[in-house]
Order: sequence, then structure tokens, then C-alpha cells
Amino acid sequence: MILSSLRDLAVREGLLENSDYEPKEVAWIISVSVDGRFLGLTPTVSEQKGKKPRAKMMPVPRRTGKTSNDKADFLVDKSEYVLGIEPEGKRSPEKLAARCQLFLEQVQRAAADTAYRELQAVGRFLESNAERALCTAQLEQAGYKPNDLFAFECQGRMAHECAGVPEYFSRSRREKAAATAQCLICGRDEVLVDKHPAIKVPGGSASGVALVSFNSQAHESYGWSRNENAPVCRDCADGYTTALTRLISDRYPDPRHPGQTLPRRAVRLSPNTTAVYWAEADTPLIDLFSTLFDVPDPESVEVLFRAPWKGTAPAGANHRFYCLILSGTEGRAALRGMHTGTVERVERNVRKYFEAIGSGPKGPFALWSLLRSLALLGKTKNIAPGLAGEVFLAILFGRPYPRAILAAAVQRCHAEGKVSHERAAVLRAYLKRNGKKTEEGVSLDKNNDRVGYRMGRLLAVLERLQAAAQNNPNKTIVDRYYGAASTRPGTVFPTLIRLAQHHAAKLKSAGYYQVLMGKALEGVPGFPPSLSLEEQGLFALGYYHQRQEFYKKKATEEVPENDGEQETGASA
Amino acid sequence: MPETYQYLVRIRGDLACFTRPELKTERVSYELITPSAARGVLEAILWKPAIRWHIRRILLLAKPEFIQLKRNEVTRRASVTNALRAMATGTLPDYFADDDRDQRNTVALRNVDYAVEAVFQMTDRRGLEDNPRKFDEMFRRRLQKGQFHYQPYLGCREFPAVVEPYAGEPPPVAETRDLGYVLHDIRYGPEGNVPVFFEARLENGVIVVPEREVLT
Repeated sequence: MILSSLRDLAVREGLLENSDYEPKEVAWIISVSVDGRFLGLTPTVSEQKGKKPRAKMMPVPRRTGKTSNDKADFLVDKSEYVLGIEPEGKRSPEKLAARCQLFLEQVQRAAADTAYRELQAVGRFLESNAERALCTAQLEQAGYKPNDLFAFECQGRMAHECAGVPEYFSRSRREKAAATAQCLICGRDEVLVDKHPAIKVPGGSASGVALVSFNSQAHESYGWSRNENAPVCRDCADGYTTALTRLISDRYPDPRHPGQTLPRRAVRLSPNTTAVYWAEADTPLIDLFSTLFDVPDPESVEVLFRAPWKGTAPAGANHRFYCLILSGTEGRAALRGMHTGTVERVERNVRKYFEAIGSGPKGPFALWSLLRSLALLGKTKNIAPGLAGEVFLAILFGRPYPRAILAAAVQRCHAEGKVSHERAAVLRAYLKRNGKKTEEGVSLDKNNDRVGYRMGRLLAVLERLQAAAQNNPNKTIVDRYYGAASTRPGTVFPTLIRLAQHHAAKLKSAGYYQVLMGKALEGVPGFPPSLSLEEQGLFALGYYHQRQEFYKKKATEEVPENDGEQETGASA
Repeated sequence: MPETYQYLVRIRGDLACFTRPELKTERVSYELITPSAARGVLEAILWKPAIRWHIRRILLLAKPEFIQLKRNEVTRRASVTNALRAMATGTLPDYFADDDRDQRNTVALRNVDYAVEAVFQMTDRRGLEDNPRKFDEMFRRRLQKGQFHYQPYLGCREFPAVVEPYAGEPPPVAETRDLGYVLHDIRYGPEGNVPVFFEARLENGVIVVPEREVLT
């Protein structure tokens, strides 16, 4: 089902219109005249503002996966094959000559079979050493890389795009007539392919890895060898690999609108794990997913929220949405997870997620900044492996968040002695989904009577009292006592309250703080000896909310000077 | 022979992996039990050369949930020549799994629950004393008592199955979906084994398994 829906995606987006061609970056174009003379060499690398200079992408005849054996590709290949030269001097002259010969022979065969002028021109160019030498000289002057691809142009048209050449190439690819068998993707009786095209998965080797591969005995069964274990026909193999390549790449050219790229459908979860997602019918909101997680644009989030109210229900609400987690290793790509749901539910889940985390000063939080706040020193590489994937899936499919994020958030608050905006957002989201109480708001909740929450509020009040009494000292009680207060309030708070009395004595408007303390402790039976992990999370939230409340108040009004309402000046 | 003997068997377990043929190296499971795996479970309970099990319908009683495991496995298979030589000489060659390590990922199913509707047919290898009634009684008795020839398993031998008669509880999940092509079974033959696939459509939690001529 996974591969067949990938193949359907390829068909739907028109990626298979010409399944024998694939988009590749071609760095150099060699122009030849009709009689094979060298006319010029053009680099296609264009400077783009702020990005690496990249060569032009164009559809070229599908290349075979590179092995250490000599195998030439048709009409578009590296310098070793096209010209028999190599910039770093790693290959022996005999090998280069052999490779050059292979390339030449292929072109000659094609020219002989089809008698197309352009192919003959290219053949003549390759045969003549003098012309090749001219080209080589110019190339060496310009400087080139071993992996640069070369394409030919004759009379204004690319050789591999001339009329008739694609059909010839397609025919030659399917030449081997073999027995047919049932393909496991399309279910039809077709000629099977023995080697699937490679997919460039991040983390795998640079030339691409196969998803379907059986490279040792233990992987084979029933007496089948290699890809006989998974019978797939050529069209389906091209289909699913093209679809995966399109999903993973961030600038896959749109085959229907040349010059544009297809919208992104991948999120990089770690150096070797990528999550790709797609739906049976594209809605504009899915296009936003990848940006939502990296740098959410406030307008996009607005659109996401407005959709249900405007009645702009997506046309294909019941279409299936798929998410795959792929990870690449040296020899293979592994499918680590496969999840599916309906488009409507996924959109609803993403909306709920954004509601839960709220926004920070710069707009809605990016998922990466939330995860970094849970890591040591706030560095991406210190994020626990697998956590990004689990959280991503929990968001998309409405599953409970992994308990690890609660533990990480609490631990980080404990270690750093402060509750940052991001960590508060994470705790809010976690406790809302996994906690027993359903409403953890964005701001102070005076009716929340959970012990942990109240303890956190109390700590914030005491901190404020100290700051007011001692005129903002460098080391506050929070620095010293946050950890102990959040884990073992029973041992620490009595001391803190005693200190608070001293602070209050120094202050004129202490009554205000006494009242707040009373409010924080209202209904709380006593200081518990220890707090559970959830309670510690609530502690952090309570502390954060109370502090935010103080900042708000500070901005709008001043602390009242008189001892206003002396209801319960005492504490437990 | 009339197919009057029809059985509804409930198969469940903590973990299951009905491996997709195309993703066998880094195992990914189908979302449902394949007919061949269901046949394997029934054969574990009762099989004689005289009968052949056919799966008619599969009922999904619990929504599929995936779990990912990473396990240390090995790259080589046991060698037949080594085994024969060991039989002859009496000493086994050394084999150290540490020299052969292969870390493989498995995406398995968690908390699976299926009900399988199956019939059996008599084969050419039945004897004079064999009749369907006899096997019917044997099977019902063994299913009730929980007897089996070998532990029934869910796709891979390390995932044992719990097998019981199915009485209608729990009801099938109300899901209707197209699951793509799923392995029906393998056609074993002297010239080679051929896999056969069928298009699985889940309708209100029920998949109807088409008939295929599968030779045992």
C-alpha cells in the first residue's frame, strides 16, 4: 500500500510523464556543430542570492546507479566517460580511455540505429581526438569537479531532447524480453525489473540507496535471489522511486510547469532521518506543513485557524494522508515508521497543536525551537534521538506526546533554574493532551487548584517579594532553591516562607504580597513532601504564569502602596 | 466435498509482523494478517496431509498500531552442506554471530486482534479412513483445548499467537479502506516458488479473500 500510493502520487503529479528521464543537475553543455566540430562549452551554474551556486536541473536519460564497474550512461555523463579526463588524477589513463570508449560506442550505436543528425554529430565529435582536445583544454582552464555532468547541444537543441531520442532510449531500456510475473504493486502481469533505481535519502550514501534490496542471504527466502524476493514491474519501480525522490528533495522541478518546483513535503528530523508526507488529494494546508514546523509564518497559522470558521472545508476531507519516516544508512534506506490518517483529521490535529502551544514574542513557536529548549545547552545535536520523530507524529496524528518531553522539560527547568517561553509552551501542550485536567491556559489560571501549580505560583510570589525587598539581587531564591522547591516542596518552602517574613519586614507594601501568598495557598492542605513528574510540570507552569502576570501588571500599573485587603495575611 | 465445515477463529497477540515482501530487509508489516499467515496459524493447530486450509474472510477486531524495533540479527543462513557434514562426522563447525552482525529494523504491529473464517478441503493425499467429519471434530476439540503441533505465530516465530474460537465479541472495527495488493499465498512448485497477490479491500472491518488455486 505504501509503494502503490507512492506510485499513485507520481502519476498524479505527472512525475512519470517521461519515466525514462529523471531530473539531474547538468553543469556543462558542450555545443557541437553538425559535422562534429567543437563549438563551445557553457557552464550552467548560476549564482543565487545567499545560496550555494547550483547547476541547472534538467531531465536527462535515467542514469544507472554508479558502481565501481565501468558503465556509461546515454548521452549525459561525467567527464571520465564523456571526455576521458578526470580532474583529480585518481584514475589510470587506461581506465579513462576504456570509459571514454564505452560512452562513444553507445552513442555510435544509437547513431547507427537511428541515423539522427544530432547523434551522428556527437559521435563524430567524440571520435575525433582533436575536437575533444579543444574541449578538454577549455574545460581545464575553467575548472570542473569530478561529478559534474556534461550534456551535448547541437543546432540549438539538447541532444538528449531531440525528436526521437527519448523514444529510442525508452525502447532500448525495455529491450530484454523476459518472462512476466505478477507485480506486487500494481497486481498485473508484467516484466519484472531486477534492480530498482536508487533514491537519495539523507544519511545514505551520496549516490543513492535502494529501499527494496536484498543484499545478503538472510534476507532472501523461498529460494529466490535478490530482487526476485519482491517482484516489481519497471513502471511501478520508476513510479515509487521517483515519488520518493520528489518527496525528499526540496527543489524538485515541476514537470508540468517548467521552471517551478513542487511544494516541499519533507521534514528533516535528524541528520539521517527524514519524515515525508503526502495526501491523495493536495490541499493548500498540507503545503504549509513544512514551513509550520521550521519557521511558522503567522499568516499561515492564521489561515489554518480561520479555515473551519470560514467554512472552507477542503474538498477532499476524507482523502488519505500518509507519513513515512525514512532513514538512510550506508547501504540501504530503512522505513522506520508508516502512519496514515485522513486529511481532515490531520489538519484538525495540527490546529489543536498550535492552539495548545500558543505563541511567543515573535509569533507561533517553531517545532525546532521547542525541541531545542528541551536539549542540553539548547543545541540541536543534544536533542534525544527519535524524539523529533515521535513528537512530529504525535502532532500530526493526535497521539499522546511521549513522556520523554515532560521529563526533558522539567529537567531543563530544574537545571537552568528558569522556565523559558518555549518550555512553558511544551509543558502546556503536554499537560493539556496527557494530563487529567483539560484546561491549561496561556495565562494565570486562578482557579487551578492543583498542588504543583500553586507551589509554582507561590515560588514566583516569594521571588518577587525578595526582589522588591532587596532591590533585585543577583542571586535570588529561585537560583538557589528552584530545584528543591519543585521536587521536594515540603523540605524547602517552610524555610522560604520564613525568609519571606524577613523580606516583608523590610518592605512597606508587604501586604500585597501577603495577600498573593494567601491566594496561592488557598485550599492547599499542606506542603507535600515530594511532587510527581506531572506535578513538577505544573509547578513550572504555575511559576511561569505568575511571573508573566507580574510582568503584565508591571507594564500597566504599579504595585499598590497601601496594605489593601488584609484578609489572610498568614500562610500555612 | 461440501464446505459445510466453516470455522471462526480468533487470533491475537502482543506483537505481529506480517512482513511485506518488498520490505523484507528492514521489515515493515502489512496492516493486517495475510491469508498465508492465517493459514499457518490454523495449520499449527491441526494439519494432516489429507487436508488443506483455505481462508475465506479476515475480520479486523482492533485498529492496527505500529511499533518500531531495532534488533541484532545475522547475515548468513545455516548451510545445508555443513549440516550434512556434521551429521556424518559428528562435529559442528564454529559459528560466531558476532562476526556476522546485521542490525535490522522492524516495524511491527502491536496488540493485534483478528478473526479468521476458514474452511478446509480434502486433498489427494487422503487415506481411506479420512473423512471431513473426523478432521472437523479433531479441529474443534483442539481449538477448544488450546492444543497445537507447534506454537502458532503471527508472521515471525518470535511473535506467539493466542488462538481461540470466535463468538462475535469484539465486533469488527468499522473501517472501510483500500489496502492495496497483499500477499495471498505462495504457489510452491518444483521449478520455483511464485507469490500470488490479491487486492485487499477492507469493508466495515472485513476483508474477503478471493479463491486462488494454490497447490501445497
